[in-house]
Amino acid sequence: MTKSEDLIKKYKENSEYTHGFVTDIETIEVPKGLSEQTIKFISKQKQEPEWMLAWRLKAYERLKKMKEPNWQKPKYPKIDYQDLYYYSAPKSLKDQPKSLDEIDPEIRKTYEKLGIPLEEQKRLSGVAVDAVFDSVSVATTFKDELKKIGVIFCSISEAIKEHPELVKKYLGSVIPLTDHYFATLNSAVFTDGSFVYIPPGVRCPMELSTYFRINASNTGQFERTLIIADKGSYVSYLEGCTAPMRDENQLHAANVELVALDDAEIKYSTVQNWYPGDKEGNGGIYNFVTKRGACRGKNSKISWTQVETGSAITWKYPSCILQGDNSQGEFYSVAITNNYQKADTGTKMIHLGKNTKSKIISKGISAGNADNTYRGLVSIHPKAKGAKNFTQCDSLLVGNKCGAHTIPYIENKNSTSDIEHEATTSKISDDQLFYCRQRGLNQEEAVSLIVNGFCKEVLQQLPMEFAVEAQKLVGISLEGSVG
Amino acid sequence: MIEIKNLKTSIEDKKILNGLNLKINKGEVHAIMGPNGSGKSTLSYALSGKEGYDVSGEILFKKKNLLDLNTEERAQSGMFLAFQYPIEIPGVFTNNFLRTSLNSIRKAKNQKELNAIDFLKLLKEKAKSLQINQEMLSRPLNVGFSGGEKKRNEILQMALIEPEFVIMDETDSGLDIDALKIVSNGVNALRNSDRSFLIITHYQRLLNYIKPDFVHVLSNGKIVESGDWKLALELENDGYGKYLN
Amino acid sequence: MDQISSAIDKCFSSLITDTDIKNVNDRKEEFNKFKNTGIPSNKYENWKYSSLIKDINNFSDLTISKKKPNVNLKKNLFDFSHDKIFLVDGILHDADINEKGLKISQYNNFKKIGNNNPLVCLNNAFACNGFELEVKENSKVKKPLVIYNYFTSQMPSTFINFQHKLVLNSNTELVVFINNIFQNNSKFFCNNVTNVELKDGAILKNYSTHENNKSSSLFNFYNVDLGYSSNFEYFNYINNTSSCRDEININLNGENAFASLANLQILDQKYNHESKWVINHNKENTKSSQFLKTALHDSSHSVFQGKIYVNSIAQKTDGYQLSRALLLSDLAKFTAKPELEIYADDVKCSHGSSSGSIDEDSLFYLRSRGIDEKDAKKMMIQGFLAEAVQKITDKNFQQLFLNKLALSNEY
Repeated sequence: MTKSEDLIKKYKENSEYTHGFVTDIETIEVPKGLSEQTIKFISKQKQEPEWMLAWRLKAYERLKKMKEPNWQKPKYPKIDYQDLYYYSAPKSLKDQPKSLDEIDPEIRKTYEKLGIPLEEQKRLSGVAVDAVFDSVSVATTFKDELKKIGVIFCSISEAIKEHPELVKKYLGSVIPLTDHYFATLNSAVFTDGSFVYIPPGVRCPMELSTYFRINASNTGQFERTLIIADKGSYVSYLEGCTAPMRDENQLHAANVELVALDDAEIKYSTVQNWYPGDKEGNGGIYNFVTKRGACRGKNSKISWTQVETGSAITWKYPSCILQGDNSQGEFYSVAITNNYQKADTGTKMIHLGKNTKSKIISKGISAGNADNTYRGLVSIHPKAKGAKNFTQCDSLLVGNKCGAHTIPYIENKNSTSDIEHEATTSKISDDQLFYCRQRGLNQEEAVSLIVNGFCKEVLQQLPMEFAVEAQKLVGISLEGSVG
Repeated sequence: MIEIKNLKTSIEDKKILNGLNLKINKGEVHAIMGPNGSGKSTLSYALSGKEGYDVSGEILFKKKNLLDLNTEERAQSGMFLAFQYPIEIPGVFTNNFLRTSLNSIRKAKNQKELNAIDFLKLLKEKAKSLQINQEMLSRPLNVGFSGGEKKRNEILQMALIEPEFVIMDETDSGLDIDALKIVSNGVNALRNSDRSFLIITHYQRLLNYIKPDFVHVLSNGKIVESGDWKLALELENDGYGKYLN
Repeated sequence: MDQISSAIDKCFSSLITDTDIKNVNDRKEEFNKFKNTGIPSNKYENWKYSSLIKDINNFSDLTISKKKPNVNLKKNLFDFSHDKIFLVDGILHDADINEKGLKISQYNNFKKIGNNNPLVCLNNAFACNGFELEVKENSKVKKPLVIYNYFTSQMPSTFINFQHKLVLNSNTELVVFINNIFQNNSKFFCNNVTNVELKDGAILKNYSTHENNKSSSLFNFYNVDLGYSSNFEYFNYINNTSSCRDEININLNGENAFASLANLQILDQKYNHESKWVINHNKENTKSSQFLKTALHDSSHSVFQGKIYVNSIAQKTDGYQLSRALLLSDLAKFTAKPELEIYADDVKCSHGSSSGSIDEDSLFYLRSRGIDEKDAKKMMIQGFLAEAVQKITDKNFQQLFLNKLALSNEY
């Protein structure tokens, strides 16, 4: 056995999915299948107003005429949409909990295993958490404190009931009902998600955070998140995702919409660590997510940061529509794929307003038999005078059974704009490893150090609470895979 | 040669020069010294006509109002700026650039343009005294040049063009002592009773090699003190502290 | 769309009833392959940004003819010593070859070029003309070979299909210069497929000009297979061409093989040009370089799709790609898709792409040396484009193209 095979074997033994446990609680589920009835059931369960149901049904009508896209690099077996469950809520939550203490102790234990004890966070870290557990928001902390300064942070279900004027105005305004297959599917059947509204001039004093977790088997998780930063406001939002081990593939098709008005800034960070499937490529999450932000106001800014280490297939392009003059979009991404994982991710930066700026930093790391694709679009429209883009896409390959691909689309239709695109591919060199080891690091520490260095530009964008976890994840995901 | 009256400049509403007055006669060498941010580089850009600055006041150059002229017209009328950071232009060959520049200026002065052979002869001669080799001249303009090579290239251009008024913007920055000597010798060789110089510098070092007739201190966009070259020595010892407030 | 499709059908029926035509069944097979897609639409990923297909779709009638027009071949000859091939309106007209190692023959058989590109299938179905050129083993051909490719003003066809084959046997060298001469201002569609085979140690330098094509739509396809230590160098000077797509497919099949592709483009009016280059690194220690410079005026549109593919066995691959565009008018457009597809870990691959306007600081520097704005701009555009010429390793041709660039008024 060569040194690298040996190390890869060692890696396989070491990096079993540590979040793979199943919480044993009762859940309520709709019968399988996608139909008008299912949608009506979901809407009724959630006691939604009539307009919301009508909106969902409109999406469903549209969906019937649409086809699933298939241009992506990672192919997957056909999904039987009639064999999925579209709603699953922990039963004990039928009567919403009034406080953290009312949460099912089993769920609480799950969060603790994940390292996000709610109370701990409430007490120590000052992070307000809206935890989404199989589609239904179970607890929202810090709500009252935020309420005092006018920040609305609640589940989208609650927002539909309590703040219909905001939801009506902004829901679907960034990702229209008709956008594409998975986004439209989500619009028809979404179950829960987060809602954030930051009033004019308010700088949200704490990081807002949601932890997603897919628990029940064969459950498509369809959350919907809507964040609105009104004039001159600022918010940083964190999303963490984990799911237990299952043999079947589970579908996750979320929609996230961000709206930044004049002078507002939204920072959206994701650490995605969903079950990637086993070493042979069985099971794992299909993470088909639509994330899009509109810099609608002048001088607004939206920044996406993502660390994607999980899921069997990750297929998403967090994007920015730069409408407002002088608005800015940023995309920082680390995508790590190992074993049979596949990722096709990147961003779209659509420059419409004058002097709009965008920056894309993407780091793809591929090991084992995995495939990692960066796909992105930078489009500068004729009216976007003085627009600027800088893109840097770097790939790192570990072993020769994996693939790393870069597919950028660059469209410049304005002579006063500048686009710079750079991409490189490299490996961890023996010299680098030798140098580190000569200085006393072991192989795994050295790899972790080098890969973290490779991703540094992205990782340093993460808020403190996430940065440590992300750094650990980067190390763990690749342990022993370099020889 | 040149008379600057109440010169004010601003960029994007930020005021930089704030009523600067200066008169330089034929054959004189003036040095302007000042701390960082005092407006030294802005002065060189305002004089040479870089776009993007709002300029008011009056600049009379050989009795003509300079503010009516664009960048190349100022160059053609005899003004030369030695850049602090000479620009790299890939694909444009140095010798081709030098010839185009020289001939543009000759043409403007109604002088005969030089053909390739005469030009190369002249170039060789000037390059030699500045220790610039032929290989450097066949490379793209300033691309891959060391700091010293870039500055020598600026002096070479000056020697070729033989301007009447030279502005040197921080010419000593990034030079080692040998390069500094070569550059200074090049400048001193061009000193004569018809040619004037304005040397902009932060340090007194360059002035050991190119001795100015007058030294001015620039602070907050104005000349706050003037004297002879001894003023430079004082500044070297005492610093700019007393002019900063 | 229907118009062009029925025009092509009509041409094909008349072609296969011609008694001189060989391999009718193979042609039919290729034609059916073409018919599966037809002229591709922008919905196909490979044709997403294509303007050529829009122009082709505007044809309502196409004609093919075997008639040779009268043309004075002594005009436009270069004054340096060279061998010559004359192509006139899609037909091999004449050749003047003195070098011993060179063997030229008329294309006279059906040689299918296996490719799924519908326009290549179309060429396979139609091509009856072109040349085959062979360089005999160990021949280092001294004189360049110039191919004078005339499109005359009396052109009898509006649909021209060439197919050429170049074989360089082991340890050979050849410089080919394709000089496209457009005398024709009427619309025609030319589909030109060239198959190049470079055996071990063969070196081919392939230079071409494509200028002053005011009305026709051109599709050029190169397939190049490279053996051990072979070398393919390509340079194309594109100036003022109405509508063209250049596809190059490089297969680096032998160790130490190297391919270098470079384009210099100046486009104006509503002209469009697409380059689609694919480099397949199939063996260890292979090297490639792609380099494109384009200056865009008026409402011209330039498209660059360049791909580096690295097979999992192709360790130590060195792949480089750079595409840069200068946008000189508000309506000019540049679209690029610089792609990497990599399956080996010990490789060095990079690509860069940039587009934008003339750098203001550089312009100021030139103007401060007395060069007026117009000349300074011209100088910068020339300098920008000249970097593509630097990729040419043959010193004589490098100078030829630099002179051409300096004399060009199209800035």
